[in-house]
Amino acid sequence: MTKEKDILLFVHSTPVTGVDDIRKFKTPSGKIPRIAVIGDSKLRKWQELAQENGADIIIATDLNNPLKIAKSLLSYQEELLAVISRNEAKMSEFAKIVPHVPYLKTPTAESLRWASDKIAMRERLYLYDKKITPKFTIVKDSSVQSIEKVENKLNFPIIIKPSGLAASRLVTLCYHKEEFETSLRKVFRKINSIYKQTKVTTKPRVLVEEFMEGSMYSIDGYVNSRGKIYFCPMVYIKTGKSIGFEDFFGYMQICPTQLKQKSIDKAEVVATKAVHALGLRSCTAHIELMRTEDGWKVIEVGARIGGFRHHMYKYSFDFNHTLNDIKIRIPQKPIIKKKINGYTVAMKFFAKKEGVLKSLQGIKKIKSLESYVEIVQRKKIGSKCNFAKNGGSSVVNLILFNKNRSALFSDVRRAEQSLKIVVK
Amino acid sequence: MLKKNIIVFVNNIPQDGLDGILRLKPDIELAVMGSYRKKDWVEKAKAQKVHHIIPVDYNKPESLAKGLFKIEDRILAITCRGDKNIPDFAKIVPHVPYLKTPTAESLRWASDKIAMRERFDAYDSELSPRFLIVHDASKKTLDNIKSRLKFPIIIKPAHLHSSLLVSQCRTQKELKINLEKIFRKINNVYKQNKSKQTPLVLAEEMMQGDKYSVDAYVDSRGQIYFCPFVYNRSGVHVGFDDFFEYELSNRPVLNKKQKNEALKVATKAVHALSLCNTSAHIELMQTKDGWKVIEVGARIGGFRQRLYKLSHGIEHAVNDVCIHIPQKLFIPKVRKQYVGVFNFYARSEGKLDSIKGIYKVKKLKSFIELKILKQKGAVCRFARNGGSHVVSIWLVNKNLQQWEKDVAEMESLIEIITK
Repeated sequence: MTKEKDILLFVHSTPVTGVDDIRKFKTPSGKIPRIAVIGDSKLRKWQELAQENGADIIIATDLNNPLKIAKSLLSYQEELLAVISRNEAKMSEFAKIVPHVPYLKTPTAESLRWASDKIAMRERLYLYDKKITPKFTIVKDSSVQSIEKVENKLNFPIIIKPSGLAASRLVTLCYHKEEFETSLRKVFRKINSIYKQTKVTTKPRVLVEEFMEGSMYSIDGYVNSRGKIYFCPMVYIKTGKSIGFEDFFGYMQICPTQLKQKSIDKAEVVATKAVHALGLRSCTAHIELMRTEDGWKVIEVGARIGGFRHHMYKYSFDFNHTLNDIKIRIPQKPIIKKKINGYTVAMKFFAKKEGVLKSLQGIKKIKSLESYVEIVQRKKIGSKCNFAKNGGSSVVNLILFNKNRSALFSDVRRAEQSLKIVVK
Repeated sequence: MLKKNIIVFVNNIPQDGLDGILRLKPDIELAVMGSYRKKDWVEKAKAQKVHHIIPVDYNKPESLAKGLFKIEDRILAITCRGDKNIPDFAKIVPHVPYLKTPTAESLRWASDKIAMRERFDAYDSELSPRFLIVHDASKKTLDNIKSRLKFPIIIKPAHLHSSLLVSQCRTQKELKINLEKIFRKINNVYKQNKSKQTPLVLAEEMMQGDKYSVDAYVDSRGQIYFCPFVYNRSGVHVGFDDFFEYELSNRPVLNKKQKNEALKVATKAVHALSLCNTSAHIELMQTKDGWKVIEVGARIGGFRQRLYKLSHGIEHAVNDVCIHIPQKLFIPKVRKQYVGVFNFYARSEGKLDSIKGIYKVKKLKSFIELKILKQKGAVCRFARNGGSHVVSIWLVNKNLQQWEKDVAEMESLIEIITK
């Protein structure tokens, strides 16, 4: 007798957003799914967290041993409904699990590797259509030859992006030769220790590409097993750089955008090419794009849902991004609504200077704003605040929503003025 | 939207069953991928009037991607025939994510005897015999084998097809001699077979019993559609010290209960290797301890296209493409006639002098085909030493008694003389 498929298997962690929604979700036979989490048996924290979050099954295994993965999944194989990974940093673990769940809809292990390695990604994009990606080169050290190679091949400004690091870690913009030389040396000095911290085992390689001038947007899409993509509405992104940081974190994300349908169509064509270039399937893809004078270009693609997107789509469009991410893997058709309910902004606040967090002011005031939805303080007083490019994460995350766009931006300004992050 | 009408083959498009494949759709186009370093496959493809010839460098993913990008929107299915081509297929798989294919990893597991045994063992230790991985013929290794496995033992290289260098050892002395021999020859044989893997040897307890095989089609959810069983008589059964497939036939040997038990084990074996979107060739042994798995291949078995076509009217090559599309399979269950293919080796190694009995075999009522695969003077070796068969004979008859009578007569008539 075949068992009922009712287990949703999450890699390493359950989603921070949307756990309640998952509990509301019904399997094709009408049952509430069981939630399982699989992760590295040597690590404890994720197991405690999974337990706290109410996971029904915790599968701790040796992810470096394929036979152990196979054995640990064996008793659940017939009951697995879908396998989901939400965390960019855990994509390599997802890739290790994929070969052992062949009868589920998953991306290929290779496509996950391509999507989590900036260099492999650029190479695939270039191969598929060189017009969708900026010119780039790869350097393995900060030698004179490497610097000359970059100068001969690319035009300034250029951007340095180490491979294998999530978010905008060590991403540096250089406007001239001297700045590039200094930055490249600094990147290679730091890269080894960061690789160690983040347990990246590959050899350091650094991507250097021409900096694209333009406006940044992102689009999430659900890719089915045949490569058909169901696109969500686009999101406008203001980076840290645009508000005076020497950093590329997504400072403010706004949806819906002011883009015309014609522009959105063109963006979707480029996003589709990017997804197909990486061979992504049976997953959600998060595609970051730059709208330049020469058309839409791809910044990056992730085999996961974008940050804050669950909330942004929930408030602005009233559809469930987390559930759609599961549905595409079952597979079921995702539900995407296009009717605009209002405007959502998600903001990440970093300290203006690096240091130890001394005080945080203005949170109470922000909570009283008309557009206020949620604020998350991610660092405690006394903890270290680093820039994103140096491996740091935001101090405060804020979500605002308003049916009226101008009222929302008034509240954005009020929030910016109210919040004071003091470091020493 | 572009019409999907291209069927891609890896390295080679076998002629058997090709007519049926071309009839799948009115405008089917064939494509073949192969190494840009080799020329023979290109010549063959040109002679077959293949529409798309794609030379690639299998060691460069960008070359594979480039080769496929041009036609990827038009590919209906990709398939691979022949054990030798499976490692190349595994390299192509990541570049065709929107087609129904097995995973690259499952193809690697199915083409590496050791990885295969390890997966079987992890899935269900009762599936296959006990085994050990052997790296040399030292005393320590021999003692280790002796303490952990029971004689008779069979030793085989991990990555070679057919029965190349496979030998059975009944005593420790035989084990020592055969291991020394295998390690003396293995590097050369790997080189000749263009195997790029590190030579490894598998020692496993020899199973005693009757050998069968069954081909199947596995869909994307792991559902398996089985073809009829094929009875395999190996060289050992007819007095050779060799494991080549002497007879492949649809002799009615198994009852329904035995078949069901065998299918359960075959299903486990396929799932243990995580095979999906593929044909599978499963070799089984009916032992006194129940059904055991000998090997599984992610491909259709040798001679099976013709054998299944003659015996049940199954278009095996067409079904193999259909499972990759995916499209409905056609597997008739009623046996139309009794069919067998018999492969004859020389009784002693040497140069081929003559083949006796051909004329009389051709007169048998069940006779349909006789192929002589070696010319006079050609070297005849045993399968275990890398040799191939000298003669193959097909016998077909609707009447079982007549067919069995003709088989017995053929066996007494054929004599291969070497000097």
